[in-house]
Amino acid sequence: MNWYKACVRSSWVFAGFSVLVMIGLLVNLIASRTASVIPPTRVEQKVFELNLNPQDEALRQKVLAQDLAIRQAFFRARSIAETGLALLAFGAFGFLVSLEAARRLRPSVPIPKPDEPEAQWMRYALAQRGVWGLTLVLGGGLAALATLSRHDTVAAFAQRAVVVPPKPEPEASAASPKATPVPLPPLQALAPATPPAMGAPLPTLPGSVPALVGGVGTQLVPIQPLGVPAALAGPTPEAMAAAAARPLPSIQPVGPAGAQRQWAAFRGYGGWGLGEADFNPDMLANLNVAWKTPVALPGWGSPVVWDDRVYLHAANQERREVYAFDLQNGRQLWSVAVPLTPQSGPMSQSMETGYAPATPVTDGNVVVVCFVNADVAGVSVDGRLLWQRSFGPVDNKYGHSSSLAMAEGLVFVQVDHGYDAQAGVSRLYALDAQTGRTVWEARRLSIASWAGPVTYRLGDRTVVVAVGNPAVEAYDAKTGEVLWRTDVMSGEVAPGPGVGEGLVVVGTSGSMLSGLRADTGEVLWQTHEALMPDIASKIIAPAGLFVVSVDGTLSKLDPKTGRIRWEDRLPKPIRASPIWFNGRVLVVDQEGTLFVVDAAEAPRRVAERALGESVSATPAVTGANLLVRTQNHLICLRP
Amino acid sequence: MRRSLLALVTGWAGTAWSQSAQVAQPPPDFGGMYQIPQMTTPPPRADIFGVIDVLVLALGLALTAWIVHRRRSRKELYVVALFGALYFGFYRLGCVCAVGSIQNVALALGDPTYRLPWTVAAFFALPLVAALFWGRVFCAGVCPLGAIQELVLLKPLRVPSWLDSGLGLLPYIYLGVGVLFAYTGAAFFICEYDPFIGIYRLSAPYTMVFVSLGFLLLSVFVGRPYCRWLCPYGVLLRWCAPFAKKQVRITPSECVMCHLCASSCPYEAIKAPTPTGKTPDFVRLRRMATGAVLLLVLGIPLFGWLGWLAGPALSREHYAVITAEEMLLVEQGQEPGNLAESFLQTGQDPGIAYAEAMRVVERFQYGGALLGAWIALVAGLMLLLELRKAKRKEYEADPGGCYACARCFPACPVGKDRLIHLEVLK
Repeated sequence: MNWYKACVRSSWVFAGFSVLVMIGLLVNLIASRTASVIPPTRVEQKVFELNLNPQDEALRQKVLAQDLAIRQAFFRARSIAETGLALLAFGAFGFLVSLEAARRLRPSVPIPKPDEPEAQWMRYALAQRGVWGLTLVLGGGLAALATLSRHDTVAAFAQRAVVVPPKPEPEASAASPKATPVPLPPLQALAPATPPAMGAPLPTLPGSVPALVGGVGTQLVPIQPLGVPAALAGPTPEAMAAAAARPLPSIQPVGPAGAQRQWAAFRGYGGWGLGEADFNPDMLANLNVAWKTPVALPGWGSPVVWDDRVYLHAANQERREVYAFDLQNGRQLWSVAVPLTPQSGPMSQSMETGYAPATPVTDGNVVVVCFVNADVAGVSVDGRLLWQRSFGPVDNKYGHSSSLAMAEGLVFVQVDHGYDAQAGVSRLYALDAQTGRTVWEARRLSIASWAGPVTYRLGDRTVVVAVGNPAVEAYDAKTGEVLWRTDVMSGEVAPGPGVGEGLVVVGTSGSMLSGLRADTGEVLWQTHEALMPDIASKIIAPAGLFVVSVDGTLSKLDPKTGRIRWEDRLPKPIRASPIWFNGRVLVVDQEGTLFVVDAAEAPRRVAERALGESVSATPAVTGANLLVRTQNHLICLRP
Repeated sequence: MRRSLLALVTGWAGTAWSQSAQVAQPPPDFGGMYQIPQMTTPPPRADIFGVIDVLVLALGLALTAWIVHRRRSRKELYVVALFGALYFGFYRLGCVCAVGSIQNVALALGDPTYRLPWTVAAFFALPLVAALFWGRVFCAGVCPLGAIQELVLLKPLRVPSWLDSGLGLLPYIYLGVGVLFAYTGAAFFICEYDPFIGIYRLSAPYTMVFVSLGFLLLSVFVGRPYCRWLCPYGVLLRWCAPFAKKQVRITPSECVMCHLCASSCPYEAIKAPTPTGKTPDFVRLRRMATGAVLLLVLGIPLFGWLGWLAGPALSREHYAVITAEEMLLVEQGQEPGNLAESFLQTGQDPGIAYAEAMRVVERFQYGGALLGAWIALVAGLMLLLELRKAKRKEYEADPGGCYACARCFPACPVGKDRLIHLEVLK
């Protein structure tokens, strides 16, 4: 038997087989593209018609049948293609093998053809030319790229680039055992060399300007010395385990007297984000729009409610106003203009912040509002401007946006600004709510941040917690004494803390999520498992800890351990903070769709409601009312 | 006959690609009735498979070395190469591979937050270590990219030496570009433009389909075009192999200068004995040496400067620069692109995006300068090394350029006789 010929013939057979398979596959390809099945667009049209008339059973059956036909045609063609590919691979393999075998079996006699020496030298010379040629081509390529480089674009980048503060070194990061929490620097380095006497004004400090109304500045107390925090161990696993081993303290939300059933501040009572409503949140889709009132000026602050009135403030570059609305019918009761003071900083802002980004606070007698330049004003509930304070100008690239908190008759104003924490320009002010007078102010070792303070009761003490960068600090609400301080923050701190279950949970996209003991600030756990919140504040509800990232991911974690339980990716970005009421989490995305999520073992969206307008403000819940501030309106939903 | 073969191979490849594209097309949109299933993230590959991959690589290298240096069997090597193509190519879909691992190493050097997986480090290091002992055995039997070219090489044609030498500069440039883009975090350029990965995965963008078809077709007639004129990892192997303890030896006996081995080598990797008798043209030789030195002295700063200027153009592959460019367009009132839209949704100051882009452009300027200097350095050294006066008394495999494919073993008449004498071929 002549094996060479056999191999040649085999290769022809394989080649013929391959050609046949090729033809079959091409026919299949053409058929699948030109088949006379119903085009999907026509099915879509039918589906549209079915949505208009969902009871039409005949139409439904027709849609299903057409849908099935399309699927069958598609998968049939795909199945043929897959089989054909396998056959083609087989044919190709057989062809190559038989051809290679034929080549090997072909009888041939090798004929030596040594190189002539001259030819070798010629080859070297030609090789040189090749290398030169390609080098020149590459040089030309580089020159072309250099010409194409858009140096004007680079110059435009340089003009617009902001100086990004250097990222903290790993040793200084929140995860470092050395850094968290740290003992406070020596008092001499922070406190003024000569503390001002009682009653003396503080002309060099922002915020100590005279008030228009109310005699502010007459009862100033010296800057409170930064109290020495409790002796804390670093957050080594052992230290965290030791901190977790002790029972967590009992804490309760605290606010103005009688505020428990109101929605008197950002995220409700104490700023914890927890509420109670006289309606079932699962029936969100069935709630009626009780009223929808246009708001004259823009603002991102949330509405606050006390009894039958809703308060709101808004501003643009020329006007700043506070409004009161009737909760029952949405009628605007009054508006008060808040003028600039001689000490006001410029009303500059970024697109994201607006001119009135913070949420007001009220105790039923006075409504206190804050603007982007850190101007604070007290307005009586009947619409009279009582007092004004100016804490600007603030060195803060997005503008001042920290919401206000109130407890023990004091309004807490967190003014974190500047980009050098050791410069000590940041302050937490406690103002008398009725007069605007500074009762105490605490110097903070924090750079610019945008979160607002929250309050809670710990034993017989009322505590204010303010989150900055890098420090989270807890103060005695009455005296301003620093109770503890823990350095766990970095990045741009906009989300407020979650408070509850004896914990304070802090974190932003530039730092880890950290669980701190509410009594000592000791770190119980740290994690970066969850998608970090960039803007929205956290809530600790009976069901767990909830965080919302700006891309719309709602995460549930165990507040005791920081372990993530589940994540639910909502369809649109979210800026507003979540709230908890009646056993459900309520979130609203930037396009104005409200979602009620059953926060059990797995996320289940039980209701949703589109408002049709952009929303950045956190909703308010009180009684039978759900209030949402959209871009241009204030909307009240009610059963 | 040749035309028929060409038409058939083209037809095969074209049909396969058109059909694979059909298989890969997304399911049709069935309209509102169809419930899109919840997207799930598959669990990561179990660590044990990484261990298996590294073990297979190590065993493959050892087996290839044994076949090349002890068994001297082309057929057995063919089987190992086939296994390499099947396992690392079709089964592992071409990833992880030693060629791409260069970029992981570069990224790990450029980005302290990136942790180099140990399997990738092993894929990077093991073939180089093997080359230090046994030559380029990785190319011979384990590399899936080399294997596929080896398997389809049917009718090797001789490439003109000037073209071969000129194109031989390209792998160094490709290595430089790949390292620059990986070091700066812009792209894994070498993987993105791997011409054979689409064949192993039966899926690729259309542009890469044409590139793959071109390389596959070229590989039928030209020996290992990718390995010779593009492979960046081959550069590293080329550096290591000359130090190999055991070099590929064409004949186990004495060379009879028959030239049959050189004729059998499709890679021009067998060097003839140094010519004797006629002396070279020294004037010409000196001129060539002067040119090479001038290229080194003047070309390095010149190309470095051009590379520095080219930095901004090169940086446009980096997402941070693309984002900033899109942000500029947004400022001019245009619709935001995907990256700008994503950035704006984070609510961050646009200045941060510009600052990041500036940082990247700066890195590319330095990297571009180094790349330019690298091109001139390599070209100059290549020109100089070509002029080296080798002292070969017989036909020898170029230790850097030999892929240890064993084609020359059966071609050597002395070797055959000796092997028969040693009863290996009986």
